[in-house]
Amino acid sequence: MTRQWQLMRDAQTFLEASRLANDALMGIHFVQIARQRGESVSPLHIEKIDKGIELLETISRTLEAREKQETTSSEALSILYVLSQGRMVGGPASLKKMLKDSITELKNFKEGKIEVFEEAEELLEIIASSTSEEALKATSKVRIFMAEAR
Amino acid sequence: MFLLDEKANDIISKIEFAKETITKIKSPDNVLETYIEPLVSWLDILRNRVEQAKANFKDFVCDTNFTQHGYLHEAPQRRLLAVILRDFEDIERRVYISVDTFLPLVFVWNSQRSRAETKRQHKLLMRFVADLLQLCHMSKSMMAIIGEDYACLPLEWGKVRKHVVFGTYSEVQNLRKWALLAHELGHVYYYQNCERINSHITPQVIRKLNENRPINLDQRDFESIIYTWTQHWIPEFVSDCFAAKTLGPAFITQFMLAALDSQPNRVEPTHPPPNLRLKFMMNILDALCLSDIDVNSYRNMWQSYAHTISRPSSLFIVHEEVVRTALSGIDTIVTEKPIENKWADVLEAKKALCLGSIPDQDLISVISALAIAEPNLDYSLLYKALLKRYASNSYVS
Repeated sequence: MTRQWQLMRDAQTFLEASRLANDALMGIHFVQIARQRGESVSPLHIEKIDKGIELLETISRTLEAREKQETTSSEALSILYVLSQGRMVGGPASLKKMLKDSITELKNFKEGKIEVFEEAEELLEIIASSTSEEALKATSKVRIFMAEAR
Repeated sequence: MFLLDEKANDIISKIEFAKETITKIKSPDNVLETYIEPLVSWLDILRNRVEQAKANFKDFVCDTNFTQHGYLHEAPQRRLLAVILRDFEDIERRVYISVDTFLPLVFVWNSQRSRAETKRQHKLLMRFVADLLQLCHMSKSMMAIIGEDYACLPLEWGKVRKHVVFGTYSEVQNLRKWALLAHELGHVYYYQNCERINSHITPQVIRKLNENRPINLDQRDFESIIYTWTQHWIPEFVSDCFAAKTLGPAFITQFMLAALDSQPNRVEPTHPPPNLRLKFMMNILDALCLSDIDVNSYRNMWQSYAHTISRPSSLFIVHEEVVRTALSGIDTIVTEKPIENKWADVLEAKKALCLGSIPDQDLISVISALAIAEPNLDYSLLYKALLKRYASNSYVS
């Protein structure tokens, strides 16, 4: 009868989404610094970028799946909701383009073809920060419930 | 030592404390035991995450010559530090929602099981929850705690998901209220079936929302509605459907009592309007075709309040086609109807209660009967009798 279940679930979903986007950003910045220093890039950091690409592909597939009435990812639906609540991302058409361009940029960055991002870094930052914010809101409410429960 | 290293050590000490606390528990009972192993594994995963976060910070310090005496000016360096700090935030929050929420409950659990004032009440509650789980062919054991409100706490420990359910302390002797726990177990059922729900119901609901979307509804509001339906309302309706098919009229009656207020069409992001939930459950009850049940009398009872004080909502979120699609999909997914096999016993127990005697039937049947009957005996007498039957020292479950 309480919102405890919903809040815990929201916190868990948003934390996971935030972690994936944040990990990808970590990979990007370590690679940027390594390249600035003329050092070799760690495969671990490339792996993090790959996971970021996977995340954006999942969101992109969910956008498509929503239109075709196919199975959607629950996490990606939550990310789409969070993205829609901010001012940085417009409707589905512009988001689709942003996702596609970001995935291409990340692949090119990995291969060393580009050094500066136009879309990908900002998009990952929006996902990481806004989902982290939602996770914080849910976690704070869970604290209240748990204090009462105890 | 860097400030962030100290923070990492603080988190590690929390994790180690949790691990020690859990592993120190001497001869945990069978139920608690099923929580300890996955929690210890999860604590190891969390510890590894802290070690990894520390290593990332060490690499950052090494790559950027960061010191605690000045600022970094270059963009990638500044952003990397922000990302590393956010990684620590993430770990701290995970420790909170998966460890800090659970750890004190272990002591509440042990205390309720051992203290003279609570142990029999708790044993009875555990028995009821265990019987419900068995009736629905769900997992063998689950922690149930006498708490502040009826609730279900989902715990995510890596790939393992466990649940703790709560009863209400002030209603612990009002046994008919326990029927509400069926909805809380419905949340567990949702998790066990969420893949099927995601592939069968969610796309249909989104399709209907798209088809009926008002022209003037902006994208932001539309996304909120999709989110509300798919992440909150569908799970709630699944839990209602599960509860109605498990305890039938007993759950519905107690739900009506809990939901009866001045706003039956209230739209909340977390829960569908009570009117809609009850309409759905009445239809389920109708389809169950249980003997000696006049579903219309239930409908009329609710509507005499709800329809008197409110008008049907015209909000898009409760568009008729969307609701119909969601509810028929959920009804198809939740196929089990445990109440069908229990109903005869519930009616027998009800008869006994109306005659003022203690029913011989099983605990679920007695509590269900109590939830729908106007018993001709003192509630506290029945409560004491059930405590004696199921929670005395000699009783072995």
